[in-house]
Amino acid sequence: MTRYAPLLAGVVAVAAVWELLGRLHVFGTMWPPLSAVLAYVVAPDHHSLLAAAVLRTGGEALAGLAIGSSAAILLASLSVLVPPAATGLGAFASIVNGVPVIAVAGICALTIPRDATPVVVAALAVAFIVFVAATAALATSPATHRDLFAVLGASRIVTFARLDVPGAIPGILDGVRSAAPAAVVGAIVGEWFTAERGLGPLLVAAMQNYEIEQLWAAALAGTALSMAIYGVLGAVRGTLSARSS
Amino acid sequence: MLPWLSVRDNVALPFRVAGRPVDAVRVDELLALVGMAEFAAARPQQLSGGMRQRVAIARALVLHPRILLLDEPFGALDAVTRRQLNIELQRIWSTQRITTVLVTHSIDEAVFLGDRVVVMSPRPGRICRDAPIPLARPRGRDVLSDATFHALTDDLSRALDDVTT
Repeated sequence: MTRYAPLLAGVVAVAAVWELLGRLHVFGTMWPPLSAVLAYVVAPDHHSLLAAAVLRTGGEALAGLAIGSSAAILLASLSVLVPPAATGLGAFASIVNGVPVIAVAGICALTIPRDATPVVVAALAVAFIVFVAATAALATSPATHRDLFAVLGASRIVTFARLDVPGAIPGILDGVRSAAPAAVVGAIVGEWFTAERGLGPLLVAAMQNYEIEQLWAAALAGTALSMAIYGVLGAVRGTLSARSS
Repeated sequence: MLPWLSVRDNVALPFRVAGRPVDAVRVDELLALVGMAEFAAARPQQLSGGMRQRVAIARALVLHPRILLLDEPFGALDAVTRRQLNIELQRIWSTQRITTVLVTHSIDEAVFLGDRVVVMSPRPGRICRDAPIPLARPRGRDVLSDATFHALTDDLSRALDDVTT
């Protein structure tokens, strides 16, 4: 319980500041108090709308996270197994990362099937984060372990499979976890260009119709979604670390 | 040792790295030999330093090597554990019969374990003494209070003083 106390205190503090700023109209009527947003969320005809949007965006974000992470881990593995390729792959990843997500989404909307756009944008948004984490994690095996494998006559592939990969799993999971919010952002931006449902269109519709509570509720739902994915991946990583120690 | 593998899997690792089928009988036999059979399922983090060295020795022996190279294997252990492992190492040799080159900074350890003690000078590393150890085997704790043992350690200690000063 004491472990979660600081987290709980932080959430309570943010909620209190939000409520106060809203009630005092510090930022005008566009900043509603938290209680008004929560009232919107729990209203019967709203929560099914929000839940459907969260499920859709969440599904896209998870699919993008899985695809983007897998591709990034493959590329990182390639850069470890084929050292001459490492520089080129690193530069390629940096360039892909340099393209603004919004531009990526626009290009995807024009070039790939509409339904696939949010997933692809989410995948591209997470790939660089996971690539950097995986490249670093795959290079962390201690010198004594490398010596052992060399003495045992292990090939590059065997060392990679039996030493580098198992040792890199916690670091890679940390990378995937850090990339979870980027996956949600990628899915939402992808939806702006192509989808009719999901948190992205909900945000746009709310803005255009001055549905202030709906706008804030969708933002809150997106944040909760990011945090939920982040938390689940953290629990997975914790379980794995506990098993290997 | 690899922290994500159990003691048994760490000992079996050389088979897997070599792409050979794991000889479970051999692994269990060596775990029993080094007194780690009870801890076969434990993870390295759960073991003491002495226990880890026992597992490392079992792992080194698993593929029937012709020679065992030990570079200060017990250097990080306390004196009591070190003495105990010295005695165990002799017991292991009595069943495995394997030529061993052991590097140590302990004169007692060198005389207690060795058939030959080679004294080397620091920078440049040159052999400056090659002393046969005529103590009978098996050697037990009583050897440590033997007059010949003390004469040999005194002699080697002087030889070491001569090269380092």
